[in-house]
Amino acid sequence: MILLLFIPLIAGLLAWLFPSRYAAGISVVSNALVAILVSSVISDLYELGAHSISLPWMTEIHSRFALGIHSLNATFLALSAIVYLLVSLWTLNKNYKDSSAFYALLSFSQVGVMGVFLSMDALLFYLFWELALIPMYFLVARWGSGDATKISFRFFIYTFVGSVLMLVALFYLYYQHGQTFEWVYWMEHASDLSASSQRWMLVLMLLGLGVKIPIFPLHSWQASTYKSAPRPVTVVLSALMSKMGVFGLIHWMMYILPSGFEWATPFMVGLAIVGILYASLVAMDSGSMVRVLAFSSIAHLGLMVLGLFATPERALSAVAFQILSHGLVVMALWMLVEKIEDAYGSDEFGKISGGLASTSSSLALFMVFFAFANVGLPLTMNFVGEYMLLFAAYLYKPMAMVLAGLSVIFGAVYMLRFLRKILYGNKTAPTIALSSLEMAIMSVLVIAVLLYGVYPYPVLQLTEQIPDFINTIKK
Amino acid sequence: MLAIILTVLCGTVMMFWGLGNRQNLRRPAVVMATILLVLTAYMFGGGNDLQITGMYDFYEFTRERYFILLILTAGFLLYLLLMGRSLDEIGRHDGEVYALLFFAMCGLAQLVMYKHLLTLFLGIETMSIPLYVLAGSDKENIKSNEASLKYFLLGAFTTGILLLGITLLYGATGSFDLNATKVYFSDFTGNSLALIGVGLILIGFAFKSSLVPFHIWTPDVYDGSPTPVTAFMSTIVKAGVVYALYVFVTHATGIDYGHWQIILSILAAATLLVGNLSAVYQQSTKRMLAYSSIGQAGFMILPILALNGASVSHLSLYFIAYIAASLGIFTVLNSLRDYTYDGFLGLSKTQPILAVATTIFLISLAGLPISGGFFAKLFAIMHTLQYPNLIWLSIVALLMAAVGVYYYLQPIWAMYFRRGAASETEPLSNTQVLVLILLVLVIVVLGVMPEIFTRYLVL
Repeated sequence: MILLLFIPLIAGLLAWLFPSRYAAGISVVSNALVAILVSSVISDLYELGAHSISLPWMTEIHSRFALGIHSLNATFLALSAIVYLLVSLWTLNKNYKDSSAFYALLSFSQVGVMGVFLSMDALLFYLFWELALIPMYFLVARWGSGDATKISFRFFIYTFVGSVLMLVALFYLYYQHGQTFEWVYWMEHASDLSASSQRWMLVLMLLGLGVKIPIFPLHSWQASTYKSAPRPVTVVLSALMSKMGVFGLIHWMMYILPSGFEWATPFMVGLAIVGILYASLVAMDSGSMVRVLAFSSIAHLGLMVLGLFATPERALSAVAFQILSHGLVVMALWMLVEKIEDAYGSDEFGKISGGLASTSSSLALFMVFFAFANVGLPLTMNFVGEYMLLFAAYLYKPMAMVLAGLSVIFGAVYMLRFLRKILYGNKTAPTIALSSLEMAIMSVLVIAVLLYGVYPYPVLQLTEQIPDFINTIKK
Repeated sequence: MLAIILTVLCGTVMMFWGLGNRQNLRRPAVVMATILLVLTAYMFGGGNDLQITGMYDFYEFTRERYFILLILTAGFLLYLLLMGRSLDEIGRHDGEVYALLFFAMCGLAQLVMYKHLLTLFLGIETMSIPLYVLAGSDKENIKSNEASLKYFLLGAFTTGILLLGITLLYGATGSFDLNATKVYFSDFTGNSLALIGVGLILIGFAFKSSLVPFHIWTPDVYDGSPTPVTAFMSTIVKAGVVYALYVFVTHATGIDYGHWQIILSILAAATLLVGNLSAVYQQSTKRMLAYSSIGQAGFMILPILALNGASVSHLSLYFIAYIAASLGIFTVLNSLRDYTYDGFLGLSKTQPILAVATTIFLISLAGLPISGGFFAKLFAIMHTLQYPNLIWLSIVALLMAAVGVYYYLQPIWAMYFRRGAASETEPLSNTQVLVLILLVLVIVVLGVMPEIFTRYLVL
């Protein structure tokens, strides 16, 4: 388990120290190793159930180096392994200036992300949370396009201020729980906390987690950061980092502050619906590919937040499932968008002549597939996830489902508009060929999305164990 | 006791050594600092200190005190190694500079060991007077002269206030002994003489550790003094004074610290706000560091406010992380010709290793993981949170930590992201490079195992 953290760390150091031409290779090897480890760890999970390690770390303040693998973080770990592996493969033939630093930072961010998902100790969780952020800041600032320094700085300040507020809440809980950072203890004794302190802490935590997701009013850093960041970084931010917030919402909020969570439900459901509708409407009127995808992400993540708050017990496994499907689909979309951007030198619809369907058929095929998957068409993973989430919303209030369900219709509108603008019309489009490696990556993603869309049981079997896992700990 | 005597001896030796020998005074200085460090380490390890009859009442010699002194002397040795070359170039009479530094160290040693209000006063004066001179040691530079004069006038005035506070407190308690003060305050019923006395002494400390609103002198003095002197004042001296404040607060207030907690928390909040927000607007790295060191003092007050069993170890962690990172960044600054952020341009290309070291120093000062500064700030803030009435202060501190990230990242920006002609730097000597690597290691190791040094405190 510790290897999951050490392999990327060492790979990062190696990539940094060795000449640039080895960097991409090192990154692929380490990510492949991590992916193998994650898959073996998860298959263990099917057989043996949750397991954890706990080493002494900071004795004076009773913080332990505690990591755990359980049904709750399994899909998150799987997603991060897949995202980093495919991103490193996708960038294999690209030349980034100063690529050793690029891959080193990417690997360091992987340590942070993995650590966030694995941590069973609040202080450790916060440490990794910050650790995931800093490399991202440098990646956007150095390799980003446009006004990257300014944009990356806004991104940094947003997330940093959010996370320090979260830190206040964690420390407060630490003292409330008699000076321990242990997640298990916090969860067992969650009901000892007074209702009012739970509410306050929930607000602070929400500010930290909400920026990362992002939840509706905290999203203004997102579109510009996604646009400016180099695409591999956008993929990580959008497919993975946003899920860190969702994970925190479940792992570090729902179980830790149960009565606060219930108290916030009406407000958060309302906020999520407003966010979903707002983001969908903005996406419908966006002038560029990046903005469509960015706002569509806000809408999709808003749906997860909605389900989670509306009917947690139903939505849990749906969310754990949906993060995987959203991650895979959005990753593919960003990669395809990058190809188109490279060909046109811009992501604005105004500068894209359209008509790629006739010149670049394989790209268009994948594009259409993933665009439909993003809408939640039956047979794709997103359909399963979204259906379960909407059902959770229905159980809470039918009206919530109706309003949130509008997002599916809006989604179809903006994704079809997106396809029309880039694929159809004009016949003079440039030809964009996919290399065999790129074809392979896309095919893997298509197969995964279809396979688990038709037969979601293997994943759901895992995610539906979450309540059992919690119950066994509570005893 | 040995440390106090030895620093004076070293100072005197350096003074006379300087008479005959003009060059290479840093070597004997380094040797003497090493002896000092070894002896302090020996005494920390339980060795017998020299005891002079009657001095027991004035000083206290405990492991904790030796530990702080150990941090300061280690910092001093590294400081001499890093800055030695530039110190040799300051002023016309080299011997003076080293002699004054050792005398200031003597004052610090007294401040760390004091148990008596008179020795507190003695320590503050022994430390300050050499600093007034050192601030003006670049005699041909008008800014340096101004710094010296300003520091002296304000400092002398504050000394008066401190002295008045001490006498008022004496009037109330009838003793200069801190333990007597502690007894007096343990069943305190309210006595305006004592309260005003404590208040005035706190003002004295606030001035010396440049807490807002007693910080006005700091930016000008730090900016005007020669860079090596600034490095000394803003690291080792500041840590010593803050520790002395901690000692005073623990003894002079007893159990009921409601009286001063509010004062100190307001001072801390003002310091954090003014120090960090002003640093944002600075164009010169040196001035930015001056303001940021005001802000850092605000963080150092937090463990004092928490005042629990772990305060000393968190304070020491903060000192180690802060001294290491600041010495590093001042060394880098000292080797630059241009003190604006432009001075850092292109450093990542011309001197990649130095650039990485600088980045780590700045990250530690900003309090980002994985660095000693992260845990230093974390513990500082964490322990104020246990008082519900101080939650507001923790939130201020956290937000100011976020502001700090902004200006500490400026040089990193200049190094890595901004384009422009690479600026000139003076090459670093091998010693300097080795010491810088040592400092980086200390910071990174502290970032993973923050208790690696402070756990010796609780043995």
